[in-house]
Amino acid sequence: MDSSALKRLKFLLVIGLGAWVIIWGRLFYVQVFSHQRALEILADQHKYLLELSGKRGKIYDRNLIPLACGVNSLSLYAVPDSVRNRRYLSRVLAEVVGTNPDTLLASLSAGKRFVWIKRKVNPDQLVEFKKWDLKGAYLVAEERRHYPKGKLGRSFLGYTDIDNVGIAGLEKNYDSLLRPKTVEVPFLRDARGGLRPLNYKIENGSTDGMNLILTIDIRLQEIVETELRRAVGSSGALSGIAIFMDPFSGEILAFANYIDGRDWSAYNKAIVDCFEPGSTFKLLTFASALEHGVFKPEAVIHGEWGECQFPGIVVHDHEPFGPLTFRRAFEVSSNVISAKIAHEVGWERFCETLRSFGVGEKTGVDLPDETRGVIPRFDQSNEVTLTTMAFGQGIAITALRLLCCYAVVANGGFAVSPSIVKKVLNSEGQVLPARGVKRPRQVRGKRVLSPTTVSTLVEFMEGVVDSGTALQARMYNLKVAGKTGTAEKPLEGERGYKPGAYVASFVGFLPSEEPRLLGLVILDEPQGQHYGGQVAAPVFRRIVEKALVLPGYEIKRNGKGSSIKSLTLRRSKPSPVLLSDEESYTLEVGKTLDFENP
Amino acid sequence: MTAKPKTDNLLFFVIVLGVGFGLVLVCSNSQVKAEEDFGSPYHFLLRQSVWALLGFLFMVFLWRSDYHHWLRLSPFLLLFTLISLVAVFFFPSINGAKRWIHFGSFQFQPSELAKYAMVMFLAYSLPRRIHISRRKPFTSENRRSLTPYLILLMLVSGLIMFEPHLGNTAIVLVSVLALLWLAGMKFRKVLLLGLPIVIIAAVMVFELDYRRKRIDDYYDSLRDPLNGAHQVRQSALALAGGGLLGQGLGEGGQKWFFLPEAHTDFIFASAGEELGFLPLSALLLFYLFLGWKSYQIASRSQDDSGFFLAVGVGTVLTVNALLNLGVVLALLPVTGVPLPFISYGGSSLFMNLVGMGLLLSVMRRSYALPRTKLLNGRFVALHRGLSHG
Repeated sequence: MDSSALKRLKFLLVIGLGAWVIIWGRLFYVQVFSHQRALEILADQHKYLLELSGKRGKIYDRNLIPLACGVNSLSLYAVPDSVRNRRYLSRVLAEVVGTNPDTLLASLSAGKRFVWIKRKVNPDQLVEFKKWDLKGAYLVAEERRHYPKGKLGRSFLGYTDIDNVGIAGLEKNYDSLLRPKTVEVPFLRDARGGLRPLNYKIENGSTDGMNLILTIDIRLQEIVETELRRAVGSSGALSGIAIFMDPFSGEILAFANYIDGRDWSAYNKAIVDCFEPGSTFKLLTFASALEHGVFKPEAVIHGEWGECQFPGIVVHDHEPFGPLTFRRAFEVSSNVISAKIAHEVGWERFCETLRSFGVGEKTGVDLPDETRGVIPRFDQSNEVTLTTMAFGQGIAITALRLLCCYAVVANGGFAVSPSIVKKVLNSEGQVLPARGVKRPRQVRGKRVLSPTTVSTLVEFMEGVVDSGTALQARMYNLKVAGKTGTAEKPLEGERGYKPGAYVASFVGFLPSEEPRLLGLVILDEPQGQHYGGQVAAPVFRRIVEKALVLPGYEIKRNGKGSSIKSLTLRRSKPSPVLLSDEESYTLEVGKTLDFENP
Repeated sequence: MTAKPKTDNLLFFVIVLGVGFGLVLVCSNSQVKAEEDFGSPYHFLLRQSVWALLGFLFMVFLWRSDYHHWLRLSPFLLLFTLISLVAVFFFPSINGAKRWIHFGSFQFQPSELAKYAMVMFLAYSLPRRIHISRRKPFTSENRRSLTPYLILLMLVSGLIMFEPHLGNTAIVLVSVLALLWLAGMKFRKVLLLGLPIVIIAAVMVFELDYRRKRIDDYYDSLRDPLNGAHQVRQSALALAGGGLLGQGLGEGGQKWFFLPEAHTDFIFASAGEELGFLPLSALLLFYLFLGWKSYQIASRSQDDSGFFLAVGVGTVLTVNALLNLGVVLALLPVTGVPLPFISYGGSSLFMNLVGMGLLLSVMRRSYALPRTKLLNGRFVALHRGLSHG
């Protein structure tokens, strides 16, 4: 082997061949034996599931005017490790987003891997972003929740947090429907963080959230909010509530809570707070007496000249009344006579009426945090409570519950469950099955009052407006039925009532022959004048006066003289509302809608 | 039994095929990086194609010319190489190594040149100092006269080692020692020189970083390539991900920056993910063929300088390829040697084509022999022919 050049060459050739055999064997070992294991590791290394989501559902009013929608916006973030010049970057971006460059620089230098610079910036501000050539700062598109009507209706619309999760009002209650669906889309990634899409198709819009159509009429809402705010301001009240609804369907047309000094708040006083309703609650006392046949409307009861001793309590009237008819007692709102009536009716029967009206239960309206009120135990008879409940003290209910009690009278004797969400639509505009809505809405509830009782009570309520305590709610050419209330406010945390503090209220509907619009106005602690008839009734009238000139709320006359036979609250067919492109939302949903009259 | 100069076109076509295959692989494995870093997916392919074209022109030119002319220039080439190997130390280092000479945008790696310069110089100089009869045993006289070459080899390999470029050091060392051994040097002496350098090189490989960790990493990746150090692991993952048939050309995921140097030193792994075991085996056969062919050409060569030249070119190429594949297959520590003809890199491709040109030139001047069994019969025939001449 060592002998000659050619033999040595042959030896080299053999060594080379051996080396190639080793390489080839190793190649086979690495490539073929580890194949399955490597595929798993590589899939983990190369595949990336990116969570993509569509748009959050929009909220429309009953005429498809958008109340909440998404607007494109850009969010700025930085990856501090890849920033070339932190000082420069923080100076440039602080100016753009209007923050302090020093705090920005500090957060960039805090050793984090990811820093939000500013979220949901108007894209107009970042048109020239590429020109600035900022290495390490990036943009990501995010949807910003926008409320085109501003503060209008925000108490029930609620709001979302920075991540578009509903945290109050309808946004919270319907978050699971409004929230866009997220799909995990497989991407291939590279080691520098880039992503390449694989073949994967998302149906357009299929990941968007559901849209809500409310029963609210934003035009009426605007009137109600404006008038309520003005009334709270001029009366010096702490807060005010005004609700208008369709008494037949229970659809809430306007829902306003105004707390003085707060621009808007997601605090829905009308369902969260309960109050002692005062005289407006007498409706139930009188209804109970009529329904159980205890009194005829023309029966005479003595008013005891404004003061009467009942078991355990002395009841006063706001003015001394002598003998009054049952009807007149309602119109002038006598506490003494109401208490006498309640005692005639008795605890059992009175409580039965309250229960049938739903007092003590939640109305089930689709807004969060509703309370049931503070109700005495119906199974424990109490003379004093019976006396005070007769004129609406010693029991506390929510404003919405009170309105629902009046809806029973307005709609001919049926219980209603109020609602604020009319329909749930998916992104293609199809109405979803009722399971989308939390509670199937009863179109017509069970009968609470007989037709005779109802017509008697309507007459009574007309009398209240025509010649009773609510003269200020009287309207030209239109019969209004209503009831005033002036309740004393209980002291907080103590027994007894707060001197000089009243809750003035008015509940009414019109036209009384064929009620279409039922409304309630409550003012909490008005200064000076404090009677419901003086403070709340005029607000109701002003709202209704303005509402009746809205298209769709016109009064139809039947041509025979000047008497008004009916008022139709016919909604005009919704016309697709075109919005400017900058707002970046469209009303494509409206086109496929079959919109019906309420 | 008349000896006739013979030209074998098969070798030429195999080279063309290999370089073409290399261009396809460069295209597939470089386009991601090219697109990201240079804005055009064909950035690297274009440059590599220009070098390939230039290399082919030189190769064909050398093929058609007499290699003795070029061997006569080899002392000057060697001198130039030595100067540039020293000059390298005056240029700024890249990634901690001083391997490059820059003239504006032109880059030049003297150690690439050194491999072929050494081979050419030995092919020129050895036959002048010693006479070997290839078939007969060596005499003690040729053994003495080989010592100066050892000094030259130590100088050149030392310079390259301290750049440091251990891969090219190994290539120069192995191919020159092979030539000296073929010229009659005793195996003892080869070991005497080779072993210390291998030890120094090994120390350097493992010393560069935390020694212990490096050795552990190397051992780990040797045992289970999928769990080794980052680069080797990614390389093995790419190969193993390819399996028998591969993911499809262009479909590899590892070149998306997971595998560093996917278009240069680790192109074999990246190609393995896309093409699979079978085409890669064909690529191994390509190198095996080139090595075998160069040894065959050497055995048939007209004179000793042709013999040494052909063996030298073949050894340089084979050691180069083996080193690269050893690294990619996690058999050797990472050294940074490109895969001949395939990896992106202009000077490497060009020099290898020049080497092929010299090989073809030797072949053109070799003797055609009757087809017999592999080597043995041919040696006999060759020497008969020579003795007639």
